[in-house]
Parts: sequence; structure tokens; C-alpha cells
Amino acid sequence: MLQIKNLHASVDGIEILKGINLEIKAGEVHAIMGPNGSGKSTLSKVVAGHPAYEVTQGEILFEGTDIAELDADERARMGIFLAFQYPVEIPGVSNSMLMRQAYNAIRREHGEEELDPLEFDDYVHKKLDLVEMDPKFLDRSVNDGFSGGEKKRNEILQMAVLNPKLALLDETDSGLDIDALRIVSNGINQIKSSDKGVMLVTHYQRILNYITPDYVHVLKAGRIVKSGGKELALELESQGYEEVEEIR
Amino acid sequence: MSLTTAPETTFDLDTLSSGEVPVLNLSSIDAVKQAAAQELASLPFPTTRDEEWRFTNIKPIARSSFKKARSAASDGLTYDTATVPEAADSTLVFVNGLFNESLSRVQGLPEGVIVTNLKDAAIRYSNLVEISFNQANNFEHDYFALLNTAQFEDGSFIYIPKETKLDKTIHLVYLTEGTENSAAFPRNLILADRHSEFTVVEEYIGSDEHAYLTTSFTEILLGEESHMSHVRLQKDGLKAYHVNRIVSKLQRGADLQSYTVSLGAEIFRNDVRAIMDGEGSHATLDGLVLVNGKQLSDTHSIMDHRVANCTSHQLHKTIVDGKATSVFNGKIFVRKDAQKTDAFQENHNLQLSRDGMVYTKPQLEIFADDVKCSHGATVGQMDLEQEFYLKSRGLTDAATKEILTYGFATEVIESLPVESIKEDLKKAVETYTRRGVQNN
Ligand SMILES: Nc1ncnc2c1ncn2[C@@H]1O[C@H](COP(=O)(O)OP(=O)(O)OP(=O)(O)O)[C@@H](O)[C@H]1O
Ligand SMILES: [Mg+2]
Repeated sequence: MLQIKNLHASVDGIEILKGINLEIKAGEVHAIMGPNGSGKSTLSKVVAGHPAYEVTQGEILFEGTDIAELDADERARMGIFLAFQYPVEIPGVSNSMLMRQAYNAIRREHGEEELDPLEFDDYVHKKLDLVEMDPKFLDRSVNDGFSGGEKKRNEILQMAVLNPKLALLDETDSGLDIDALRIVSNGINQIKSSDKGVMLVTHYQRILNYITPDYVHVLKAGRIVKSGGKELALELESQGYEEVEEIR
Repeated sequence: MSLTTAPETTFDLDTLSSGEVPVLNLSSIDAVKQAAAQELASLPFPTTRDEEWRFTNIKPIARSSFKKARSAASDGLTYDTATVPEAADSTLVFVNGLFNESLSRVQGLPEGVIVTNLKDAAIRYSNLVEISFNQANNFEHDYFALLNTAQFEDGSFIYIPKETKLDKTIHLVYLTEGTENSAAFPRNLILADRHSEFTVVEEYIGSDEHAYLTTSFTEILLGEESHMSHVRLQKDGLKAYHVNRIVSKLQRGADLQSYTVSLGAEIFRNDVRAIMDGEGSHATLDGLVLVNGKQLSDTHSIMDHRVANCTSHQLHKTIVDGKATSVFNGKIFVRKDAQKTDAFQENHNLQLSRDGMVYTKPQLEIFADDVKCSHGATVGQMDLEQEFYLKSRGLTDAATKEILTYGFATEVIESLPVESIKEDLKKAVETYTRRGVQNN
């Protein structure tokens, strides 16, 4: 589904990603861990197509197509979704309006008919149930004044609505309380399927108790320095990142 | 749509003063009109050398010649008052500045409330017209205020009796149709007695086909503890010139919520003023301007605090696309007796293109010592992170621009008091952004 080959990316002329290799197959969950500033969000944004980051070397293939030159919206309509570490506030634009437009843009892309506001309302309410969110969040401006946890939950709501093939979840677990973590994880698990891939960036083992990763990778200073199975996360939890390079 | 037109007089603004001054047949007012015509004769047309017109080049208006429409009857022209259901039977319609009785519907108003054309009011309610006409006008030596005063033939007259709460919206519709280079000078007079409460929507509509000139002037007198919501929508055609003045005078405890929304016209100048003349009065003068192409929009506002304990708020938002220009000049005057004034002004500009121009100048002139006044202005482009966020959800560049424009404008639109107008404006914002996308 996603193949990243020798990916180098920089921002403002500073190289952040220094040769990433990663393959995510349909049905797999890959956890990305690593110290602050190691490039986890950068990797997520580069795959999603943030215009500030320049791919200087390497390839990003999504379902066999090189997407490195495509705009973020084209990638999104192909089925890539990024749940932001810091979701952006958009005052004046209601959550439901954004989601309806985005969902319809994706439907159009697939030659499907758009949903009118009423039809969309039915559809979105089912997704709200999935993440146990109050319908009042539909009418509020996107992330505007949302608490940290509410923002994260809203990202997962949007993901549920847009039903992407590849989900890049950047620290969706940070800032969630214990119940919210369970609810959000359940939501992610329900959307997960054999034809979808998940890249889950996290600092903590606890979300991995709910969402079992097939692989865990450690990103350090722009490189994946170690990969392993789910037990690697536990190892890291007890040893920290200091040791990682030696293990390698 | 066509109009049966009687002979027209052609004029340009320079020679206008030598022409005839239309009469209202109310001697005191006709005297004011004559005086205005006389002053106008010696007043030069404003140019960019005048401080008040520095960024607003109105030479194209000076260069054109216009003809006053001479038709009141409409031939095949329609206006459906149900467009604004809140005002289905409380709407006055003017065509090319002249009152159109057959298109107007005012049967839904309670007894005592007067909503009619000024010409009619001058005959039937001459007392009310005389005590209020020119009473709020503080546009001394202002070319366009004088021009309107001298040249107006008609306009709207509204009177709300004391302790009357009007649920319906009063809708004043000014259509420009049919003829090239027509000129209209609507003069509106709104008088509210104490403890009244009402909503007025003043709407200017024209087609993009013809160049025309509208020089409008609305005077508002608010009695003690009265509450008025006022929406002014300028949706003129894109070749139109529109110069407008609004002045409101507030007595003790009066409350004005005024919203000026402007989307149309090639050159548009809006001077809006509120005079806090009685203690405890409050004015909100919010504005929303959307321009693109080669449009030029200029808003000059004055909050005039004359007495103590008054408050004023202003949120003026502008969106500029294409090669358009927007000017905002907002003054807050706090006179020496106006202690405990609380005045607040904000101007935010969203620049969607590189070629657009934004001039903003807040001005505070404070002569009292115990006051709270603040102002702020911002000029910004679309936020890159917001853009990326929306695009990462699958929205195209065009849709992203549209939704961010919409988001920027919503703050003003959502505060409008009339539901159907809100909906209308949401669509207008869409049309605006589509137009911008086509032009770019
Ligand atoms: N616009 C920028 N200009 C300069 N440096 C940047 C820019 N954007 C990111 N960086 C740097 O790139 C590095 C990687 O940042 P990134 O956000 O990808 O880290 P991260 O692994 O997600 O960290 P965290 O765990 O704290 O979220 C950091 O050192 C950061 O300061
Ligand atoms: Mg990060």
C-alpha cells in the first residue's frame, strides 16, 4: 500500500528525514516511536503532502503510484488521511460543513453521487456514535475552542467519515484521558480492516494495548534505527531511546 | 426587463448644480435642498488630494455623464417580496431611485407604524418629516451628502411609534434596471420613538450589464431606549458606482446594531457615522466587504461620543481578491464630556491575492480623560496551516479558498438579525469566491 524508499526531506533547507525506508501493507499497523524532534511528524506530513517540506531524494509510492509530487488534496482523495498531532482551528467553518465538503469531494473523485446535507447528517451521526461524540460538535467551528482531547477525538471522527485507505495517526493518543483513549482506540479498531493500512505515531505503550501493532519502528534523527514486533514497544518503555542505537 | 421611460436629462456632476433641484413640496425641506444645491455649486469634486479621499480615486465618476431615470412605472419588472419572508408584506421597492408602488407590499404593518416613500410622507406626515429631516446629518461640506440632499426626489420614510415592538422586518429594496448611466439619489429617513424596537434591511441590487450611479443617504434618529437593527446590503452590479452616507443619532439609552455588507459596484464609498447624543446609548457598526476583480471599496466610519457613559463596537472585515482595493478609515471621537466612554474597534483584512491592495487606518481622537478605547487592525493572507489542514481532507485549492473566505466572513454574517439574509449572504460569499477563482 505505502512504500517509502530512501526518503530524504527538508524544510527551509534543513534536512529532517535522512533516508527513511518503510513499507506498510494493507491490513498492517505500524507504530512509529522515537524521541522528540526525531522527525515523526515530519514523516507524517511529508506523506500527506505538506507543501513546506521538500522531498530531496527517494520515493513515496502509494498503491504503486509515486505521490511525492502530488498536492495534499489529491493524496487525500486517493485515500490518505493524516490525523494531526496539533489539529488546526478554523473559526467560522463548522465541523459538519468541512466534513460534508470533504466527504463529497472524495465521492466525486470516485464518480459517486454527493450526499445532500440531510443524507450526510444521517451518515455522520453513525460515525459520531463510533467515537461517542456529542452531535453538538458538528455545529461548532472546526477545532475552535476544543479541548486537547476533543481535538484528537475530532480527528478520528473525520477519519471515520472519510474512510481512508491509509491512516497516518500522529500522536492521536496524546492528551486523551483513560476513557477517551479506550473510545478512540475502539473507533480506530472498528475502522481498521484487511484492506487498510495504519501508521501510528506514539510515545506510549498504552495505546498499543488496544491497537496491536504488527511492527514497531524507532525513528531517531531522521532515520529508522530499529524495527521489531510489538514487544519492541515494551522494551523501549523500560529502556528508553538512549540504548536503541547500541541495540542496533 | 424594460422600463417605460419619459424624457431624461443628461448631466455630469460638475454641471449638476446649475440644473434644476427637484422639489419635495414641503417648503422647509425644499429650502434645505436649495441651500445644498448652492453650496454644491462652489464645491470642487473630491480628488485624491483630499485627505478623506486619498486612496479612493473617483475620477471615473467625475468623467461619466448620467441621466436621471424618469420612470416610476415598471413594465414587466418584477420583485418578489417573499424573497425575504420576514418582510413579505413590509417591503418598499424603488426602481432607479423612484418609488414603485405596485411592487411594494406594506399591508402587513401594525397601525401607527409608517413605512412609505418620503414624497408621500412629506404630504401626509409633514410634521414628522419636518422635525426629523436633516436632524442627524453632520456631513457638513460633504460633496456627496450635499449632492444627495439637492438631487433626491424620493426615498423611504419610516416612523415607529413609542413602545412599539415590530417583529417583522422592514425591507427597503432599491433596484437599478435597464438603462445605461442612470443616476439615483435615494434619501431615507428613519425615525423611532422611545422604547421602540425594530429591524430594517436596506438593500441595493443591480445588474452587471450597465454602468450607473447611486448616491444614497440614510438618516436615522433613535429615541430614548429604542432598539434598531439595521442591515445595509450593497449588491450592485459590477460596473456601478455607489456613494453612500448613513448617519444615526442616538438619544438616551438607544441601541443601534448596524451591519453594512458590501459586495457589488466597481467603485463603492461608504461613510457611516453614529452619534452618541444621549447617555447610555450604544452603537455597533459592523461591516463586511468582499471585493475582487478591479473593485474599489472604501469605508469611512465615525463613532462620535458626545456624552458620557456610552459604548460603541465596530468589527469591520474585508476580503480582497484579484486586483481589488479596500480602504478602511475608522475614527472614534470622544468629546470632552464623554467620560466613561467604552469604545472598541477592530478591522481585519484577508488578502487572497498578491495584487490586491489594503489600506487601513484606525484613528482615535480622545478629549476626555476617563475612557476605555481600543482598536486593532490586521492584514493577512490565508493561513498556510489552515490551508494544509483543509487540503489534507481532500478539498481542492478552490474549495479551500472558498471555505476559508467563508470562515472569515461568517463572524459578521452570523450576527445579522434576519435569517433569510444570512442564507442569502452565504450564497453570495460562494458566488464571490467562484468569481475570484475564475478571474485568477
Ligand atoms: N519549519 C521548520 N523549520 C526548522 N525546523 C523544523 C521545521 N519543522 C520541523 N523542524 C524540526 O524538525 C525536527 C523534527 O520535527 P518533528 O515535528 O517531525 O518531530 P517529532 O518526532 O514529531 O517530535 P515530537 O515527538 O515532539 O512530536 C525538529 O527538530 C523540528 O524542530
Ligand atoms: Mg510530532
